[in-house]
This record gives sequence, C-alpha cells and structure tokens, in this order.
Amino acid sequence: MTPAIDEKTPRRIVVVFGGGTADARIAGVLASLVSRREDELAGVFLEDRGLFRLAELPFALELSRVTTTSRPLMTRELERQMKVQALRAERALRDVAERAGSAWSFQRHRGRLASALASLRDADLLLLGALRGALASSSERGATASLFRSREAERTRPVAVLCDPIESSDRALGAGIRLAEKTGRGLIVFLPVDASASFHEIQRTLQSAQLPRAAIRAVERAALLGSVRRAAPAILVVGAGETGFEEPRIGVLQKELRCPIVVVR
Amino acid sequence: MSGPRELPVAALYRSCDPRTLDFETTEELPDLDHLVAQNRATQAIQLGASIAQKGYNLFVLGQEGTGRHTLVKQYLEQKAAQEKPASDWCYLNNFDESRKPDVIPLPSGRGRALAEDMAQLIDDARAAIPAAFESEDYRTRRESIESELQEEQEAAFEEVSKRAKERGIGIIQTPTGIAFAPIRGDEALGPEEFNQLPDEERERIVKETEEVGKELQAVMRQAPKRVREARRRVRELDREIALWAVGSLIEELTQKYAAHEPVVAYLQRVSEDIVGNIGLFRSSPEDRSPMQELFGGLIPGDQTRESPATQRYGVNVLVDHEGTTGAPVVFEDNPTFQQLLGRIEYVSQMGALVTNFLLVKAGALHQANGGYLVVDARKLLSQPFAYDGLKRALQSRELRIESLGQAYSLVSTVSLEPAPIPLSVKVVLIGERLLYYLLQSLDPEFSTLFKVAADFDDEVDRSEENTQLYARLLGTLAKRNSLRPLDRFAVARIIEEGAREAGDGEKLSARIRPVTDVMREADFWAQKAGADVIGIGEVEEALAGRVQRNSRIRDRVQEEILRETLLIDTAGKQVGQVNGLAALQIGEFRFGRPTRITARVSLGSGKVVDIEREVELGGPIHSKGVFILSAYLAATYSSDEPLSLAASLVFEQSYGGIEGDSASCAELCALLSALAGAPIDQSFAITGSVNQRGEVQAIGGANEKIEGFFDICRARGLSGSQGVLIPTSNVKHLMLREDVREAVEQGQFHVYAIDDVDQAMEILTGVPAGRPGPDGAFPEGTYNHRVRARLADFATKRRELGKEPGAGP
Repeated sequence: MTPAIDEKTPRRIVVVFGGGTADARIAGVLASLVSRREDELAGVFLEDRGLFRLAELPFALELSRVTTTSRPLMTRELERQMKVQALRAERALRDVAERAGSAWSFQRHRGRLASALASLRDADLLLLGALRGALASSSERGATASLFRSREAERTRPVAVLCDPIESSDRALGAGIRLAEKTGRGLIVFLPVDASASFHEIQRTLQSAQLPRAAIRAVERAALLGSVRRAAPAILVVGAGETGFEEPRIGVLQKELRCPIVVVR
Repeated sequence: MSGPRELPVAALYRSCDPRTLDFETTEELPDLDHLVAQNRATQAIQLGASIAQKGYNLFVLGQEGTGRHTLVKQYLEQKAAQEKPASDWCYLNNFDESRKPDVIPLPSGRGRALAEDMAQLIDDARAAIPAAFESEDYRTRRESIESELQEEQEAAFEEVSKRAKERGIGIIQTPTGIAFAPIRGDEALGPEEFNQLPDEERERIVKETEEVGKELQAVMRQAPKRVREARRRVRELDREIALWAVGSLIEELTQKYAAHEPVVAYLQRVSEDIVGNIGLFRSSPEDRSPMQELFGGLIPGDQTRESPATQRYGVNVLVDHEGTTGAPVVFEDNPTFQQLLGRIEYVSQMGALVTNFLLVKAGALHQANGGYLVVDARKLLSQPFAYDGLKRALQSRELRIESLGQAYSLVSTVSLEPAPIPLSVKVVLIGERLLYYLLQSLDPEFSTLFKVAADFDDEVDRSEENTQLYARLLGTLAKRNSLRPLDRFAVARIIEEGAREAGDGEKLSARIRPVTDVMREADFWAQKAGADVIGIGEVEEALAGRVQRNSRIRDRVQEEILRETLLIDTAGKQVGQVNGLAALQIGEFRFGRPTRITARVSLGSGKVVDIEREVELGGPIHSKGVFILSAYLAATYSSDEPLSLAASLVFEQSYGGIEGDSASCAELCALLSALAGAPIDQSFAITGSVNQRGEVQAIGGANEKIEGFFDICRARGLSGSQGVLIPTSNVKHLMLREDVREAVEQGQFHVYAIDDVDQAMEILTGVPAGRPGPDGAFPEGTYNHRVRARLADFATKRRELGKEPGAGP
C-alpha cells in the first residue's frame, strides 16, 4: 500500500473552521499533520448565512448553551461574535503555520459548506471541524454529553480511518497512521464489507507501521456511520471521492460525528 | 624551728625505677579497659547512665585530654550493647491534613522494610490500576454510563426537536447558544418570506417558537443533573475498580504488618485514599504543563522527582536502625540546632519553595532516641539556639521538628508541623569545669536536666598500683594508636614525665592526650631508627623535640638577660635587691624567668607602696601579698608604735601584668634588706609566698622557676655558690631536669628548702636572723635587730618632726 503521506510533494492543506471549541481541536490535528515548510495552509472560517437571516426575524431568540437563559438574537451581536471566533481561528492557524514555517492564508466565507468547498478544489488535504450552523444535528445533541467526558477518556479516543473502496483511501490510511503516531492514540480502520478485499493489505500496512494499538473493523455499509460514532474517534480520516470533496458525503459525516474530519485527496 | 635545708639530689626528682616494672615491653601487658584512678568519674557515669528518670543526664567535666571521651564512649558502647535496639521512626502522609505528617514507630530495621513495601505497592498499583481501568470490563461499563447519558440527552433533545419540526420550527446553533427558526424544508425562513405569511400564521410561528424555546430550555436545564448523576456513577465505578485493583495489594501488606497496629491503620487509610485519588496512578507525563517543565526546578534523581503517588504514599524512614544491635550511641560533632533537632528541607518548584513529609530529616536526637547522645558542651553552647533546643526537647520529652524561623516566629509562611516523637534519650555533655560551673550558676534549668556530674581528676596519686596501671594504659594506648610497644625504661621515663606534667613528684597527670602525643613522636623516632620497640632514647628525643619546638620565647628572654638588656645579677651583693622567680605559660609550654625585685625605704607614714598596683599592673592576689608584708613588718618590728616608713616595691623591667603571691617572700626579703642595710647575695633566687607570721608557703611552677634561674647561671658559668630558695612545702613537687640535678650533685648549684623568712634572710644575707629575747628584743648583730632599730629610728624622727613648729598633729 502507498506509504502514509508523500513527504516530498508540497501540499496544500485547507482547514475549515466553524467556530467554538472544535476549532482548537482541529488546529491541534493540523499541527500533527504539518511538519514541512513546503506545506501551504489555507484557513476558511465558515459563517452560516442562515443564522443571519434568522437574526433578522423580530422574534428570534437564542438560548445560552451554558446558562440556558434566553435572549434576543441580534444581527450586530451575531456579527461581533462571528468576528471574534474567526480571529481566534486565524490566530490558531497562524501559530501552526509559523511553527512549521509554512505559508498560510485565511478568509471568512459566508455561505454553505458546499460553496466553500467549490473554491477549494486544488487542496490535497481538507480538515473539517464539527459542523455548526444549519439545523442542529446529532453532533449538537451530544454536545452536552461531551461535557461529561474526562480528560483521560478524551486522550484514549482513537484516530479512525474510513477506507472506502476509492483510490485515495490508501493515502487516507497513511494520514491516519501518521496522526496516530503523532498523537499517541490508537488507530481503528473501518472497512465496509464490500471493500474487504483490501483487508490483508491494510493489515500488512498496519503491521509495518508498528502502532501499539491498531485494529481493523469490517462493517456493513449501512451500519458504518453508527459504528464510527460508537467508536467516538478523536479524528476521522477519509479519502476524497473520485470527484473531489463531495459535500453531501462529507456533510453527512460532519452532521453525524462530533470530531474533526480529515479528507485526503 | 629547724634551720634551712639544702636539698640533696634525691629530693629533687622522684624517679621511676624500671626494675619495679615487671615486663620487658608493653606488648606483654593486658589492655586496660578503664582509666587510671578515675573512680569518682567512672561511678558517676555509671550512675547517670543507669537512672532512667527525667533529668538524669550527665555532664562530664574535667581538663581536656583526660580521657573523658574515651571513657564515656567505652562505657556507653558496652552498656548500650546490652540494651534493646531503639525503634525506627517513619513519617507518613497525613491524608486529612498533609501539613501535619503522622509518625509511627517500628521495631529496629522494619522502617526500611515498610518503605520498600510501600514503594513496591505504589509500583504495583501503578501497573494494576491503569490495567484495571483499561480493562474491557471497565471501559464497557463506563462507556455504557456515557452512552446512557448521551441517549437520555438525545432522546430528550430529539423529542423537543421532533415536536419543533412538527410545528415547523428548526433548531440552529449560534456562536454562543441555540436559536429557533421557522423552516421550510431544510432552510430557515427568511424575514421576507416570514413577512409574506398571513398574520395568523405569523402569530402561530412566533407562539410556537416561544414554546419550543421553553421546551428546549427545560431539556437543557435537566442536562447538568443528568451529567452529575452520570459522574456519580462513574465515581462509584472508579472506586469499585480501584478497590479491586489495590485491595489484594493492601491486604497482603496488612497481613504482613498485622502485629503493628499503626501500620495496619495507616494501610487502611492508604486504601481509602487511593480510591479517592486514582488519578495519581493514571496520570502520565502529558499531564505536566509546559510551565511545570520550565520552572519545575525538578532535578533528576531528586526526591521531588518522585511521582505524585510516591509523594503521597511513600514512607520517610526518619530513623533507620537496620543492621544495628543494642541501643544507639551517637556522638554529634557538629551540634547545630538543626543537626540536633532535625530539619525540614525545601525544594524549588515553579519559583517557590515547597516541602512535604518526605523532606523531613532527622537530627542527632532522633538517631539517639532510645539510647545515648554525646555532645561537646563548648560546641553546643557556641551554636545559636542549640542548647535551648536541646533543653526544650529534654524537658518536654518529645522531639518537634521545626525551623528556627518557625520556632522564633521569624517567618510566617505555611510549613510542615510533623507530629512530635516521644523522646527517651540520655544526653552526655562533655566540657570543661568552668562551663559546668557557669551553667550551674547562670542557668536554673541546667541543674534539673543534668543532675549527674562526672568530675575527672586532673591528676592521680603516684602510688605503686597506679604506676603499674599507668604502664598498662601506655601499652593500651600504643596498641590503640598502632604504635610500637614501649620498653620498661621508656615507660618509666614517661611516668616520670607524667609526674612532671602534674607538677608534683607524688602525682601523675591524668591528661592522656599529651602522653599519647609523646608516644606518637617517640614512635616516629623509633621508626626512623629502625627499632621495633620504643626505648628511652626515643622518648627523650620526643620530649626534647617538644621543648625545642615550643621554647622560642623562653630562649629570647634568656638571651636578653645574658645580653644584660634585662638586668639580672647572678653574683655580688646588693641592698634591697633580690632575684624573684616568675612562671610563664605560653600555650602548652611553661618556663621560669628570674625577675629583679627592688625595695627602697624612707621615713613615712607606714605605707608600703606596691608600684605594680599603683600603675594597675598588679593583680589582686599580688596586692594581697604586699599588704601582708605591711602587716608582718608592723607586727614583728613595730608593735608598740606606728610604723613610720615609706617603702616602695617594684618588679624591675616588668611591663605586663603581675598576678599571684609567689613573689611575696622575695619582696619581703628585699624590704628587710633595705631596712637592715644588709646586702643580699645575688647568687640566689627565691620563690614562695609569705603569711603574716613570716612563714613561707607553697607556690606553683617550682620546677620551671628553679630551671629558669639555673639556665641563666649556667650560661654565665656556674660559680658553685648559686642556688634557689623554695618553700619546704614545694619539695614534694620537685621533678627537676637532669642537668639541674647533675649540677646539684656536683655542688655547682644548690636548692634550699625554707620554712620562714628568717631562714631565707640568713641564706640571702649571711647575717643571722636572731630570735627575740624574753624582753622581745633581738640580739645585736642580727638582721632583725637592725630592722627594728631602723624602724625605731624612723619612728623617733617622725615624732620629732611632729613636734616642730608648724607641723601638723
């Protein structure tokens, strides 16, 4: 199988920030992936247009996530909060880039993920935080439960690789191995049963990587998403589809999982 | 009254006959396990060491070098060997209040074993606890709690979400919370679309949005309760798993230490505490913050490098008696406050000084607890607060470790207050007599804490038995110091030197150290000569070497006398001038020096002026001697009328202080010579004090004084008439040098024993003293007659002067 990540070719890594604590986590993942001056980092802070439309409604209310008190949702306030979170994301990206000595850029994008992805087709790696905005997903519903997680439990969460039968999966596996090594986490490779032909090859790759904790789980495609969710990975690595970063596939993953996603082209 | 007595050679030196020593070399002699004739001190030490009551500590007093340390060490070590070993003491973490560490005693040697067992337990727990917490069982049960919580949350949220969706309301995340919006399909309704809705629809949407908001609010408010409940369940699970993981380890130790109740109780507390602090065993280096890494001040190998678990459950073996037998005997050479009472050490962490129970360090009192502590009194008293700290510990009978800053309220930072340790120790202070008497008079607590004084004699009787014991002592010292054995001639010579050191032919010095030094030096000469045994020659060489090394000042003084810078006559006759003798001590070397004493008389009011006293160079004892002269003159020669003379006495060319009354006889002779006009033969020197009856009394340093005058005479050439007058009571002290004895034997030098001043004057002036007749008058031609006549003449003249016109009453 192809080694982890081609260490020689300069890469363009795109990070999509969505605000909140997930941004810090994705910056951590980014730091584990970037180690070369040649890498080029591009940060995109995604602002949900729907939110602004909502804020224009006269009766729009917002419940504080911490205190659960309700307050009016104001456009100006929303703008300011977005700006603060974008600045924070930009700072996190800059820190990672400066440590690696890489070139970096940052922009705010108001719209949907699909429109943002459309402008990032030349990226080699795509990092996505947990989705925010749009209609609250199961990831949001589990947010309060995540408060409960201990630091230790957080540390033991593995890196997950979803090995679809696509050409970029071997690179996704390489990236997953690299992340597991860098972060000291275990690695779980999810393999749809329709792609189980590559089981032995993946096994050999994992053996040669000599990771202390690595496992392969072959799962029915229908149960794949649920299995990944139950594994509660710290990071999910997937390969990009034949047509690039298909928003529907990534969108589903983002909605259903509570972890950063690395998409490898 | 008998006449003056010229002493024969035999009286000048009490030799030790080697024939009385029934051995060839000291190698044949059995070791001496006690000191010679120190029974009083020995018994006191035995008594003090044996009484267990409070306050029966010992003060061993005596001159330095008398074997105090040796005897104390020897006796205490023998006694302690028969006693039961002292306890080990361990400081342990106090889980309720870590500032106040607990302390437990353990039988000798068990402290270290407990420490090792606890270290092993920590190691085992460090492996067992993470393994237990990584087990499938634990993970599954924990995840099921998490999953249950998540499901509950999701179910509640889903319910709200579902109802909201039915009402056409969607839930949307904002940067800081959750908002609600009317939806069409998957899109939120915009303001334009909303405004196009009929009024009733808009009102419904607003109302529904508010209701959904309230429902969600209710669900979200339940969330913390659910989380708390889940946390409680996880804590219980953690407790169960931890107990399972360490339970067997603790149980094993509990059985091992079943006989030691404090240890069992401690293990129980450890078990409970581990359950509440399992994080200590599950933490990894990742938990150390970069700040800690940067400023931790943690040095590899340092105790603080210990893991948090070790810092919490380790054992500080404060006192470890493993491998020892009997009670401890501790000699503390550096009795500072901290060395005696222990200390609390600190380490730098994050720029601050911190400490814990593992950094509590024992002092000498801890080490000696249950046994004996021997301390040099002078060193103890010269260390700030050490004596007070020792007394406090002895009074309270417990050892509290605190810093000086704490003890004297100089610092107010939070520190440790280790639990006090019961103290049962016998303290032996060794010091000089002066210190003992000063402490007794100045410190009221001293007598209550040091009830037993062991007073070492400076000298012992030179009896036949003691001489034999002394020989054995020399043999023992030779063996103990790895020296060659001494033959009996050498032993005899050292015994003689012991008497000389004591300044008494009938005594032996009890100071062992100078004797040992002579033996060491003699051994050196024997080695140089290739001899297997130290002989008398090597001893003589050693003794001569010691004199030669120390006699620079004596030689300079004698040189100045011979060069007549210092005026001393050794021939001829002078009125009112006599050779007195002074003894000087420079370090360990003592020597005699002749001093010219002169007296001048004239008519006066009966006052004898001591010029030394007038210029404040004379000490009080010297002045006392001069006042005695006045009394003697008045009582002997002028009992019927006022003494009408003015006399002055002076130590010529004396520029330092003069103390003692050993020259008072010489001063009286000079005065009588001046009054009688009888010249004194300068071939003589005289020493001795005198009382009001004219009796001559003993003085110190007789040997050195005689030798001092002899050296000058010999250097100028012995005339055959020169000699020294000493009090008869000093004859027993004589241990004169061989060269002096030889000169006396050949009639070239003389030593006279005198009992009173008349005998002295007869020898010095050659004029008979004369005894008063029945009428109290002295016979004519005697010096006493001349003195009385002169004083009568002064009295007459004074009376006549008093009758002259204008004279006072």
